[in-house]
Amino acid sequence: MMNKHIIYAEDLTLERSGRNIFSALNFSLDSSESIIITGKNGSGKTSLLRCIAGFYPITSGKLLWYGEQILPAYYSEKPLISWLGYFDAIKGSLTVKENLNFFREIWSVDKKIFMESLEIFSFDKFLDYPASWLSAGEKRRLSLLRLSFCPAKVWIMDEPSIYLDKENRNILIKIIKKHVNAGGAIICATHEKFDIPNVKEYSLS
Amino acid sequence: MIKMRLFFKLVNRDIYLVIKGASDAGAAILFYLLAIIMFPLSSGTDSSLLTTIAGGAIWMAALFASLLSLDRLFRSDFEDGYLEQIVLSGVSMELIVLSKCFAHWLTNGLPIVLLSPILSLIIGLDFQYWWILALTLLLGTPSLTLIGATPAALSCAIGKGGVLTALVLLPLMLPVLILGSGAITAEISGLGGIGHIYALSAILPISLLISPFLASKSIRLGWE
Amino acid sequence: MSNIFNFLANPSRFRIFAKSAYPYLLMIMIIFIIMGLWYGLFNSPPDYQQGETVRIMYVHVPAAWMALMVYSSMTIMSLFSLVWRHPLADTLSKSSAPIGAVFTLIALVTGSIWGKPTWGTWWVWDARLTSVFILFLIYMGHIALVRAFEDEFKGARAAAILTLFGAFNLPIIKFSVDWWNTLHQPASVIKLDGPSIHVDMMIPLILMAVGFLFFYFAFLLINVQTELNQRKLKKLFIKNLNLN
Repeated sequence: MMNKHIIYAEDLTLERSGRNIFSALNFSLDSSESIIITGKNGSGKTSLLRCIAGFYPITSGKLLWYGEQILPAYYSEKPLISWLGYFDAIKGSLTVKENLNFFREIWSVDKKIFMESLEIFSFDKFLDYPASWLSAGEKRRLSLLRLSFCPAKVWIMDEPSIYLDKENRNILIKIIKKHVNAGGAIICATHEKFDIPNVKEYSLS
Repeated sequence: MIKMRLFFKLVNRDIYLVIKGASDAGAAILFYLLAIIMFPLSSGTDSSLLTTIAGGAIWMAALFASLLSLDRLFRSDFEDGYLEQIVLSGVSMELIVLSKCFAHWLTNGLPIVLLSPILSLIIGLDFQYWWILALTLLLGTPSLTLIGATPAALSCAIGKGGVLTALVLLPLMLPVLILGSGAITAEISGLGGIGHIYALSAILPISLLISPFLASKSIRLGWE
Repeated sequence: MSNIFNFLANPSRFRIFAKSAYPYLLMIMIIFIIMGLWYGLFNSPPDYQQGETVRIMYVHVPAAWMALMVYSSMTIMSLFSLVWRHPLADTLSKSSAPIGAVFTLIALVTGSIWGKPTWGTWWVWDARLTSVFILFLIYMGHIALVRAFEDEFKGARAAAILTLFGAFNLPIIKFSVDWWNTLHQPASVIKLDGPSIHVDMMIPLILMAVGFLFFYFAFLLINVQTELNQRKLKKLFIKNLNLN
């Protein structure tokens, strides 16, 4: 197979505690593409994301990253996924800057990219606040900021727009577009309609 | 080399969090002091009795202090999604476990070791034995941390911990307690505690080998 | 070995196997225990020092053997589970723990009853007694932890991790308790086992041990069946929930 997809899934099936979450899913993801996963509560959106990231072992089927059987949560060379999960992974006792700086160092992010992201989310004035002072929406914004400067090619987002107001939703769409245009790829589970280029929609039932 | 830098970054962060008061490592040290004071208060200040139990008392207090703080070794990072983030950032789970254990030892074990000579004075251990007390604690506390890592990680998977972690953990920690306090008793009785110390130091590499592996498995189980 | 495992991994196949094997195992167990008891009570000599009380040995020693044997088999199952992710191995390991705990308790209680006439006290801090007591606590901690999981699959996997961890620790615990005991040796402890044991004593001992072994097999099958039935029940329940 010459053309290796970033993610390729065939007959993906997940069973948890003897319960069938989803079965026989087929999809693929390439550069400059995005996948939006929709579906009602309990349809397995989050489970699918966690499966792709390697947190849940799949019951049967095939899940390939770059044509190989890698689970990003087990793979330890460089980040494969920029992950925006249900939890924000923000330490309330650290300042906003300390929270961000830690990941910046771990991912060895370029200063220019880092400053750009700060600007997009206009977080520069909050930098020295303890993160515990932030509201839920601001925490979500902080997570999105972190997501946006992660060097990984694939963004996986679980309900990214939750807690966000209209203005910040527009920022979210802006960074998504920018990422996709730059050759990135996105998988996003959401209830909302996003206007993004090159999008495939999958509905779980 | 990159792994090494990464390791120290993780350790740094954990210690910084302790300094910022995000973990209860400080409280565990206070507990250690309190528990030691409990011994003379409960069994009298008879100095000959205190001398006999001193080594055991300090070791018991050290054991409980690390037990208390171990319960939260992975918990807060597991619950706020930090562990997920970090494991997806190209850091292996085993390295994370090791870094957390090392940070825990620096903030819990090391203070216990450093405080022990002073405490041995308070509780009536002859001062000439301070070195063996400190040495056993120095060798034993890292093992306590490493042995505790797996049950602590399992308690993340359950979502509740506390008593349950202690229940699983205490029997597994017994060898360290037996050999650690035994060394002091043997030294005082004139038998020489060096044999105990050799045995105690053998536990460290064994737990260093198996703990990261099994603790990682346990945390992944929590995600499943 | 692995083939047999793969064959039995299917729950319904295992259920059929368990159903047909169970009566035979039970029968073998009853025969051996009855024979063992008969030999032990009527057809073996009293000890020249301890007299008739020595007959407690025929329950005590096999129970202690089984306490260790069950843990060893749990360790092997756990290895299977963690390395090859075998779901049946988890369940077997998890279901073994209560049986092992009961054997350990039997060993402890009979040991204590035996101790009263021979040592004059119900309990001595003998190395062997102490380490069996610790083994009992480990079993209990294991049972408590595994049952704390709401998801029985996760609970079984946790069982495997914990068992393996305990297996590394058990020899160290045994070693350290032995060591501790030489330092705190009570004044007069009669060695339980002489270097040689009379052949007439050996026969009931082995008969009982085999009986206990089959007790373990039979009850393990029951426990696993219960576990599988529970899972099936849950599956049916969820199915019904989705239909309505």
